[in-house]
Amino acid sequence: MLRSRWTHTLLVAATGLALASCGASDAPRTKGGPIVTNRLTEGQYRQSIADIFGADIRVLGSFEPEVRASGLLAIGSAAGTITPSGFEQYEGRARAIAEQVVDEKHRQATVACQPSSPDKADPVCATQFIGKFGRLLFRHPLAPSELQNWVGAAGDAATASHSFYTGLKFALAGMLTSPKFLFRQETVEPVSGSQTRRLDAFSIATRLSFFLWNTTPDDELLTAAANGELHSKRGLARQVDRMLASSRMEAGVRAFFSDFLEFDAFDTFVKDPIIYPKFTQRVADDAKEQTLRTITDLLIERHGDYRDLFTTRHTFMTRTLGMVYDVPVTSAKGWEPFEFSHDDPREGLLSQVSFVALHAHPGRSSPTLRGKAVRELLLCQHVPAPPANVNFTVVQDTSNPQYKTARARVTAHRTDAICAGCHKIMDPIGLALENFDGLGQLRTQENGVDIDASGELDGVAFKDAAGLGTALHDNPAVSTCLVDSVYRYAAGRAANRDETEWVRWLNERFVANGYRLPELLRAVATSEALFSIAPDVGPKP
Amino acid sequence: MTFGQRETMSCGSIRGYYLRSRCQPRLYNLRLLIASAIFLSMTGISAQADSAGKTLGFVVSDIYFANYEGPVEQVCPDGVAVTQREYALQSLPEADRDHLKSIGREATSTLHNAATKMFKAECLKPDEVADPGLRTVGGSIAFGLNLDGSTSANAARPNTCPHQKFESPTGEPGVDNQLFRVIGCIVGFRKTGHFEANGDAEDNYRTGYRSGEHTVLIEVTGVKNARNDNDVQVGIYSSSDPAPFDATGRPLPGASLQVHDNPHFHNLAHGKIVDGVLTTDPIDLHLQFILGVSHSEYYLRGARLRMTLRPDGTASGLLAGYYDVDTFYDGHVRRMGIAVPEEYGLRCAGVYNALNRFADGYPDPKTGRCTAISSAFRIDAIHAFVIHPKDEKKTTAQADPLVQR
Repeated sequence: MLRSRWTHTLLVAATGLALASCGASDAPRTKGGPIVTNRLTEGQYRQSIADIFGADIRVLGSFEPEVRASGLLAIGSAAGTITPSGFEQYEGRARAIAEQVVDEKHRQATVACQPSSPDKADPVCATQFIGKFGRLLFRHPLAPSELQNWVGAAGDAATASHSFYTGLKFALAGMLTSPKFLFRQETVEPVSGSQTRRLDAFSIATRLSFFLWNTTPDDELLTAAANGELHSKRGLARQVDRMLASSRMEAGVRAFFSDFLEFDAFDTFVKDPIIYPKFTQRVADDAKEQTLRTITDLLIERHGDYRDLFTTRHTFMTRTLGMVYDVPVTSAKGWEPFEFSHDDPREGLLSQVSFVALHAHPGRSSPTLRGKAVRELLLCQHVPAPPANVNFTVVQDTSNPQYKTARARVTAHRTDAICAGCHKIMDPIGLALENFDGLGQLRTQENGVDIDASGELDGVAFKDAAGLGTALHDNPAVSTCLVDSVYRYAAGRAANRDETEWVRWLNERFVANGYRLPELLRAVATSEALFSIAPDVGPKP
Repeated sequence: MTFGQRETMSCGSIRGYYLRSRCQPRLYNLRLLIASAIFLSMTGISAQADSAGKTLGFVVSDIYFANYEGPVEQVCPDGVAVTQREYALQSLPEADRDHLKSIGREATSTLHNAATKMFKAECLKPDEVADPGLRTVGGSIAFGLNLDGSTSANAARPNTCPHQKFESPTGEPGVDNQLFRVIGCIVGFRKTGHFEANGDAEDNYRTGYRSGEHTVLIEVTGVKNARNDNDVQVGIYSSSDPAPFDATGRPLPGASLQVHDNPHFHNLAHGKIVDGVLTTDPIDLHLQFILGVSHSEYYLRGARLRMTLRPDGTASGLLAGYYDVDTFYDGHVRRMGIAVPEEYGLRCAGVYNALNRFADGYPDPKTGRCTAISSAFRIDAIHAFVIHPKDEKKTTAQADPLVQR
């Protein structure tokens, strides 16, 4: 796996360098966008703590709900705030983390110096500790006054408690509840000879790290920021290539696709246990993991074409999922690679439980929800909400002898003119997936009637789910949607009108590169556009 | 060629793609020849796969004694078996008996304790106690199979001992199920009766099976026609994986379950399917039996399976054979401890002696006494995948050389 990762990273870097000479220089300039202040998501918080203090530090308590804006949690995190009860959770969590970091089990690794006495304050040793971890937590070196304040706090606490380590604990807990840790605060600086401004080096490091790794910048990236490397094309490219080659990139890709595919819906995912007795929380967890593994395997390990996600027969299985898919699984525990045979109708992400079950009702399938998900998630097309006074009775009644299949029910529902307009753009897609019931189990009939899985997507007709996968594979909106989403995810905001040409150029490069995700990530991460700030935003130079 | 044309591409356009605009008849003929060769070889491969047949896998969702539950006065004309508590009650002074009768159900625990104390040693060593007798089945109807091929009572058949036969509830003559004769009037093994332990044994066995203490897998391979096929292989395996059930107790199809590590619990037999009913040739069968503290085995000699296979992937039927008497007593009575036999309402020595008295198969060459007792278990099964690990230790097919087919 490591060898393949290095091979494709070299490939990515080589491609990038080659294209840099003939492509990147003709990238449309942008005026930049606003700075953003994003609250750390739960995943980012947890990963940051693990990366800074160690994976065995337990992170307890519940997190504030995340907000989805413009289709992404990464953008909504700029709209989220912290409520008083939410702050209580952060505060309790911070003290628990700090306590573990300086306890006897961990302090040998975390506190590099020995205090002159364990029973009282030691500003020299405290400075070392707070300076080191403050830099990692706040994602920039502490200013001398800042450092002095925190060291002072540690000293006061040490004196009051007669324990040096308790002093460190209180200082660390304070830093963990600081907005400088909980929020990604960006700083702007001028660019000589230009009205456009740019993020400072540490803000660049922060955007890069949360984009590519979904975690806080590591020591090497912060050092590169301090050395000015990130403001040089070569230096930036070197760090980006290092990050793309790292095993942490997989976590970044998983975080992006979890957001892109709205996998946070798994938090409230339920199925009727009478209708779908095979459904358990384990099925939900494995379904999500199956899709993420399929994605990272194709796009990273095998450096494949993004569009092939909708036609691939290659995936992964556990015994839990094997029961839902009704396929044999040899491994008693864990995951094993699995390939659907060529006469099996299942191929691509759309036939996976994470899609067909997540976009369905607790007790039945839903061509409309599935069609809507394809439009909104994969094609970035907006579907209006239904009017408030819609009558859903005919669609919901699965025992109606007149309408035995979902196709018959939605067709009847669509006779209402109020409903027809939107259903026309959703149902012909979702009906192709009717061979999958509400849990994603394969079926050929519903209520004794053979299922007709024919459909249409933007004028392309097909007869089954595999045909839908192929139609999606070939639909240009699939790649433009991904490219646009990757950029918005990286920037933490929607693209503005000024960036339209730049995003279009990005998509052309993505297509030219064979729809390879690592190349796309590199193009975004090494771009001027990602770090440019519009002239009328933020503090003036 | 773009992928978008996959759905609608015609043969002409494929040809056009490969041959561009020029007509190349010789090349075309060669390609046709190659394509034909490939097609024929694929057909051969496909035919080979067809001749190998497909595999039907099952996990047993329920396995229990195939006891016929008729009216007690017909099945047990002498009455149901006297329970240990009743023996214990009779051993008490009259005044104590009257007192216990007067306090009703509260007497249960007192009698239970007295009974366990009285009979604990007997259950461990039943052959050291005088036979107290056992009320056994006197009816003529039972579930089971004709194991010795005879329809006459007390017929002299090789490797069997003379015994009465039953008729099945559907009128099949010659049913051998002497084990039912022994346990059929023990209240714990009946669904109905006067004792508070009604159905206790079946509940106990079912709970134990569903908790995954011992799982049974059935695999039918080489199936060319699921309705009629004269030549299939049947594997009956123990598994350490629990059979899956939902919260209401319904079995769930589609699980992948691995055969037991120990090849002692792998049983292979030749079988056939006639009008959707699978039957197997007799074999010596060993399956793990674990229930609570009892770790033993189903050891059925001359065992055969008869199961109806349904298109929805379920199956049900009987597993019948001659249960080795010592193994049966050890696993289903002795190793259960004293509390369970007491709860079932059986007297250990009575059962032990009845087992030996009614044993009807595999006579000991020295003593001439039969050492195994005809029995039948009803089986329900659902579709499952039987997984064989790469390093599976193989067992050889076990044809029973002693039983006449």
